Amino acid sequence: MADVALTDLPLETVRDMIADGETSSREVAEACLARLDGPLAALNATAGIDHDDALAQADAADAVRSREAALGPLHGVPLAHKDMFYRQGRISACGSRIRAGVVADKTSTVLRRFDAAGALDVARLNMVEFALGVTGHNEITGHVRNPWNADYIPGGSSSGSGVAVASGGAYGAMGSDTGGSVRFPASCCGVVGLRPTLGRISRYGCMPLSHSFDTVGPLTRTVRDNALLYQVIAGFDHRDPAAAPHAVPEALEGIEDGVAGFRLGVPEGGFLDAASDEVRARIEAAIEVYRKLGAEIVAIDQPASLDLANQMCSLLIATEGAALHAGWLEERPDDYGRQTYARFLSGMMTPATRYLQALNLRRAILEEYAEAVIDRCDAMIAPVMMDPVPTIEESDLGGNPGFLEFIGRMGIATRAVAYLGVPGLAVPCGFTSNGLPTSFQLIGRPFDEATLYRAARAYERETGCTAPRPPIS
Amino acid sequence: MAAKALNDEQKAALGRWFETFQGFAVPAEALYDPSRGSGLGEMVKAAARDLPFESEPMEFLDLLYDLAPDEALPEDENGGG
Repeated sequence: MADVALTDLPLETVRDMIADGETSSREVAEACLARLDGPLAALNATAGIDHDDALAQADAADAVRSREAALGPLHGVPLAHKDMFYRQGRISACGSRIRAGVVADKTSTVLRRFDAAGALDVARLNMVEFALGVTGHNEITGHVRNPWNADYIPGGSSSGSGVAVASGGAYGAMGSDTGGSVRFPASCCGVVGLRPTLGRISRYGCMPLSHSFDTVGPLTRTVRDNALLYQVIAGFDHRDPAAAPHAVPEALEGIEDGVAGFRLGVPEGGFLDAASDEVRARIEAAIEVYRKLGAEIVAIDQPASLDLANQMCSLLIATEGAALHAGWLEERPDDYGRQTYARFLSGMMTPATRYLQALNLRRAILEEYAEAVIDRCDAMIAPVMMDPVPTIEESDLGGNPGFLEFIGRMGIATRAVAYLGVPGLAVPCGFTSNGLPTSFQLIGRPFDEATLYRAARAYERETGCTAPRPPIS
Repeated sequence: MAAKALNDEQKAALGRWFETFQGFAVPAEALYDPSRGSGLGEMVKAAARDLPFESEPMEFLDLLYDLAPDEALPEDENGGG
């Protein structure tokens, strides 16, 4: 089928085909909508689609192409985003009952920048309720399912984003990553996902969860596509009080330069040791690929304080989230899923002094990390998930409370990165014995996402790690 | 570190705390607090003892910004326009 081939192509390729007139934006949009309406709806990945609007955007893009030579870097390409990126006049339900009918009164900076680059916005994608959860379970809107095997979790909280990108419903999708919510679905679904440096990409017009840790980042099928989306949306925004004033070096410019001279940090006695045998084996194989490609492998004595960072991040997210939700927790407790409600309530119990101490410790722990890691290597490799992807049933805390420890393990390496504020790029690195994808993350220097992309691209080029696509029924 | 569930007595105490300080009742089954059960509060307290008296959360951003590579420094710091 022609549309299957079209939806499986990289974003860059389709963008160029549209620009060259080899296909039209409408044809591409119709192919994506067919995926979103069919298999992706069955996986519960979509939160809302306005078909007429999506096709009108595509027709407008085709009209522009027919009369203008200079096109934006995403001209005519369908994207879709987690249902928490506001667009004025459109509902953003945030995976919840409480916000189910709320129409946004503003458009997020990220969507504005995509619009200016010529991208289409074809669907709202399902997510964990209020982005507070790592598996993809949602008691309110229904659980999202993994495209590689529908019995398994897709990872959360940007679950629909991971599923839609992996399955050809969109060529890229935005997610949010407060404690791992871009990297988990990227890992579970076998796509590339970026948690940027804190302050690198504007959060204006996005649902807040935890202002100290909230970031937003792209999920794509290839490394180059991820760098392309990042390049379009990164940079200062006066409307986000946490936005950093730093310059954004071209991420695509040196992306094919390889890893000769690149120093890859390998933690000893830390994240790698905590991973299960299967996941660790995949990452050790990736380290050997880097060695073969000419990277310098540097043993890192991982600071013990990262364990505390992980735990404090969890505490702080729940606390800041609880402050945002305090009114609804009181007035509409029955409108929350049980797990979401319980997690927010736990944040209400944090003493203010302990909350502030946990934030005060952030600089000291980053200093220790900088000395042990940033001063010694260009990026550190670590797991995203510590274990193979679990099933939806076994990881449902409602029916299996004993799984809490597993859930806690899931975020050991992702929350620590969030606490440090540094970037983390999830890169697929094969499959575990259950047939589900797994990933490593490259943890970088602040504001140096370009180096992560260059290193990830070298691995992708050597291994073809982003080529496999999930079966579509 | 393994989390521990609250016992009934602790849940009742927390429920009273909620009513008193938050102003609303919470069903007992919702009162499960892994962070407290793990002893995290004590760990934070112990780690914070070593911080300088003058510490404040915003100092974190100063360091994060300073760790950027030269080419990503803000334009007024890297010679750019």
